[in-house]
Amino acid sequence: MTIFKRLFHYWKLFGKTVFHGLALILLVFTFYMVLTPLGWLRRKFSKAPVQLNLDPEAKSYFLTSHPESNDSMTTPY
Amino acid sequence: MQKMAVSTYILGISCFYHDSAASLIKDGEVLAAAQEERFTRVRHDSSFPINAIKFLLRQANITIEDIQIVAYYDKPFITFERLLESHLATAPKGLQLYLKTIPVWLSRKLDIKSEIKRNLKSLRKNKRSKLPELLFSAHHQSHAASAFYPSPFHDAAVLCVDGVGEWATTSLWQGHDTKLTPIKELHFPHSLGLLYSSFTQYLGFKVDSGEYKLMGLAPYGRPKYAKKIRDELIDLKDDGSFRLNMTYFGYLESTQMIHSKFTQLFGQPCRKPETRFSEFHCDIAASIQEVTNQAMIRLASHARSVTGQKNLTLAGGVALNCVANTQVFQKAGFEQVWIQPAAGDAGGSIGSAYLAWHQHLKQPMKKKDKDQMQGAQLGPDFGREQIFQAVTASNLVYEELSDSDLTEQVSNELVKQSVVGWFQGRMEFGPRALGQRSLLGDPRSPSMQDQMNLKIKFRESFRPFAPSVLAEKAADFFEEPSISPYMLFTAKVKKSTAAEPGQSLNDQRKSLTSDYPAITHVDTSARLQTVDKDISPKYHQLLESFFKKTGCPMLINTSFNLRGEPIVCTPQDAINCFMNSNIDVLVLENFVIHKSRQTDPVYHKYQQDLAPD
Repeated sequence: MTIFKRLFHYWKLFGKTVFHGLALILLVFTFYMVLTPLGWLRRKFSKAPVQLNLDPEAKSYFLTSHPESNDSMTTPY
Repeated sequence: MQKMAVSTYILGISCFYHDSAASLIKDGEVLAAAQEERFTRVRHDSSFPINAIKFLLRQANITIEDIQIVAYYDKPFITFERLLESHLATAPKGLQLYLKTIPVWLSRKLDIKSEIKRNLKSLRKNKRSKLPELLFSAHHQSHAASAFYPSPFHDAAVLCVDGVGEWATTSLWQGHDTKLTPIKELHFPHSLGLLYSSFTQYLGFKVDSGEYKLMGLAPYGRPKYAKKIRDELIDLKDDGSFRLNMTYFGYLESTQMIHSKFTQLFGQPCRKPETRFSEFHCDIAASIQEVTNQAMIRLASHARSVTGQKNLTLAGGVALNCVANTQVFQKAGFEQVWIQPAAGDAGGSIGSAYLAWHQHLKQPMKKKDKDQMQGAQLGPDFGREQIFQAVTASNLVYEELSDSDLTEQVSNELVKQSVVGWFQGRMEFGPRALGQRSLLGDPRSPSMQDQMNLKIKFRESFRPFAPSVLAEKAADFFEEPSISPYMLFTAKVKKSTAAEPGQSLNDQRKSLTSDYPAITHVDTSARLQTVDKDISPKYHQLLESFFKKTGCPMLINTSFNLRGEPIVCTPQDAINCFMNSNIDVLVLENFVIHKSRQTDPVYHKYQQDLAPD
């Protein structure tokens, strides 16, 4: 019985390692192959929501707020 | 408007970032609120507040089936959108941050509905019963609601300033009756809270925890670098709006708040934690505090001109900065300023619950002439039997006194320079101890600050303590004190002379002259709590008794905890704290326990290997 327990333990460990390894590869892949080119295109061709530039000539950086709709609390977005 | 047949209970929740908490309102009135850290004993605990919710249900004597609505204080999908947009803005930089945050979001935070429901299900008595309706309010909307609805005002301008919620980092609102209208906002990554936290990290303190230490260090320095900060780091406009020069900051694409360019700007590396403070560190602290004050004054002044209101309410983590709050009160032109005592994320739970009541259920505002936070006394209390059991189980030698004998004896002890652990009534909601779970001492004593800092709280000696003062006597001892029941404003101590910055911290403390040195900062300011008889009768009685004996209507009031620990919650927590420190007298309601009378040697050994906070 003990030997099966130990084998199962190593099998689980192996499974976890493979899972984390694959997840890491997938995450790195999506970061460089999806997010990076999309980000480049976004910065090149449209006004990104994350504004990084300063505008010394501007009088204000405030954005106008938009009131939430009546049923806005029913959704997590 | 919907008609309410029976009492409506709404549970507000804030969690998964830091300082998770839960609040319960019944028919629009706050019944109870507590932070999860007090129960788990993990400081700034971010986990689902299951223990806090259990307490709320016990306090109201209801079950989860009696709750109609659960309101969560944030919109997780929008926060996730902001994270993705941040990566799009910085990729290919930021892989490390991406690998750290995205898996947590994909596996847990994004599907927050399931996470909340799973936890709520574990509280059901009947496994088939229906779960309450689940609602979501935006992060700054929750802050704004926590500032406006429990305030004493029916009309007010509302200003929220924090690190970041979904996108907003600063927001300006107008509150009228039940209507809370957003007017203007600033978006991530431009954040006053994160700017302050960046300097917190630069000076070797923990982010989201050590900001108040930075504020405490500031009076030791001169604001020599304020101009450099304004010229290089922040473009601050006349209306208080601003953007940060993100080439100096790392938090957009890394796990660090600042880049090496930041340290190069000031010419010195980050201070290592627990090392000594130089004049440079004090000057940096003074400089960022001055810039923060300036930004807050401009923001508040703009709020006044846009809304035309004479009242202001504040919330968000930056609203815990009592130095900036005082500047706002004195210079922004408002007649009254009220600040949510749990201004950080914990208070968001109250805000979201109020929003469900007033905006979702469209219930009217009740007439109010005072604030609805009940002195922040919203946590658990413990009866005589529970305290008796804790005391006897710990084998403590004790005496039980009447109310009048208690204040008489405790004030005698304070006059004799004893440090008293004062545990009374319902625990405070929010980060401040306000006389329910407090350590008390004599503010007249020159050695009391060191004694309490080094021998009891085991924390840095540069930090002065805050005073609790009889509200009716505050004007005799402080210059222009505002009503400050939640310890969120400062005032100058009368008849005191400030130290000259530039010397060492110890020399500055020695050169300060004040009749109350333990509570007077080197710039003669004090972070005062005004104690009202109606809100805290027993604490007020103790202050009065001390005043009659000494002519001093105030006491040192610091939180009842050791360094790195949350404030005590239960009698057993208080006994543990008493056991592991040099507290002379422990007062648990009417039970008085003297350290010197304990026969068990365990009460004379002190554990000093405490985690840094």
